[in-house]
Amino acid sequence: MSSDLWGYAFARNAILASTLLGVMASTLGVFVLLRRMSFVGAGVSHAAFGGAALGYALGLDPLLSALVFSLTGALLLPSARGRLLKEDGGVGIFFSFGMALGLLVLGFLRGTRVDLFGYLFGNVLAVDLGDLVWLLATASLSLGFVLAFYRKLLLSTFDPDFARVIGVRVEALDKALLLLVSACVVVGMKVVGAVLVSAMLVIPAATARYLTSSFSGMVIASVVVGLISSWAGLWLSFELDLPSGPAVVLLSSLLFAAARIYRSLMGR
Amino acid sequence: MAEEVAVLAEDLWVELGGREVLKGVNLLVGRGELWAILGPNGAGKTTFLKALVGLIRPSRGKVSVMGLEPSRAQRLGLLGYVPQVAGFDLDFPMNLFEFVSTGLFGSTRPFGPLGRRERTRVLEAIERVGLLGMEGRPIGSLSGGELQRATVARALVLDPPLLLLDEPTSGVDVGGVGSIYELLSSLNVQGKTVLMATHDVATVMERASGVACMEGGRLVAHGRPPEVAVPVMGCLLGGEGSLLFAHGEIPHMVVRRHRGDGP
Repeated sequence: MSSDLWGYAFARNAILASTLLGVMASTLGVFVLLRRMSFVGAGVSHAAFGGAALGYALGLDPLLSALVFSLTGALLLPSARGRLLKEDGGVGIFFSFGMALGLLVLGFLRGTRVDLFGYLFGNVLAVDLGDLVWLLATASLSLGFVLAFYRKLLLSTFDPDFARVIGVRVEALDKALLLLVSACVVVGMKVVGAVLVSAMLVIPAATARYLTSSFSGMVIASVVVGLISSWAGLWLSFELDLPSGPAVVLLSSLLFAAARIYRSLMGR
Repeated sequence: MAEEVAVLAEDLWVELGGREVLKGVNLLVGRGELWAILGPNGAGKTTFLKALVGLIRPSRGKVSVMGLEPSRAQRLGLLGYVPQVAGFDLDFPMNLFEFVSTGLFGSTRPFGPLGRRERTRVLEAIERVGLLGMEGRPIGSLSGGELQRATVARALVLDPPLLLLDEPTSGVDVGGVGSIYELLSSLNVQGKTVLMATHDVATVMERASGVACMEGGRLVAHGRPPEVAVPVMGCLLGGEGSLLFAHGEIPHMVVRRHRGDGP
């Protein structure tokens, strides 16, 4: 990345925000992917947009209202699950409700909708110090959680019953992971937008899955892929004047395709 | 007396989703014994094992494992659990060494490489089940028998005196079934108490020191294999009990009279 860009506050903020989101989302993404929770990320991001719109309409901090809205939804999600409705059904309802709410609020607000579109499609160049503080706090919490419970998270992802037998509090870990994924999605909305933020969770981890056959290798590879796509996507968006969110996600998708082809060529 | 008992279930009732799955099960397994629980699918064998390891809370009655409440026995490393391997995600990025080492995850550091002592324990457990040299193999590349052995190794990694196994030969080819029973018998000879749920009637009648049979959530027969052969066959046949005859050295089912030295 061009060193003179570092001299501009907006570019510095963008680079820091992309780095924090890249590391956090790609680490949590390994668990999201292996637990088959990818749809949860998409659901939460769309619901978060509804929360942000509602906060905006009520004169509250949109990020805070999106956070409250999403975390509440994530906590209530398991209670929607039952014999007749599996978790993906609950997420689908939550997803649609949040998006419909956001669009409804957008319809009512006239003239001042640019900020809200920032949450929908993201604008990393608009990230301010307050957003960076949120990102830093969420990333520290998420990475601290993964480090503190790394082995227990791994086991409860692979074999939850065995994990329970050896004393791991699987339900508490599940809930904490869901809350952190929701928080990651909400704080990442400003960077790549509600529509694309779930891709930051899933694509680096999916790419890593094709590059390694060990769990720890997958976590490391996912973070590397997440960082490369964040930095290179940002650089491309600066150089070619492209919207940053789509540039990051498209680059990450290309890396995924390359990994998939590499794996096929290796005959595995 | 208590120190000679490995597993004790007293009037054990379990209710799941409004349905009574276990109905007053009583069973005592002594230390150093090898017991098998037989029964048709849905009889309650897995639920019984899950109650013994503390995964399911009884609605009535009580269980003790090595004289303790199951979760306490587990915390003290007295109990090794081998679940059915059918539910495993074989595409999970994990090799045999990593898989077996998860047996230590209740007591190890949260992250970072395992210590030398822990690595030794894992390798010893892998060696005990005859898979040494395969540590780096992804779990998805193991055969049914190898995966089952790996699951036993995971339960052995803390060297518990009691092993509880849920259908340890399911998904294992005919050639592999014998070697799984060889392994369990040799662990039993080394002093481990073994209690398993299984469908392999003929093998356990030959190898087990005790056999129990469940039907509809009840334990309908239990005891030493030669003594309970007929009621166990009746239990496995369900409503066909009235058509049951037995004769000769080897217990077997006869649903129609045939030529032989018995009735």
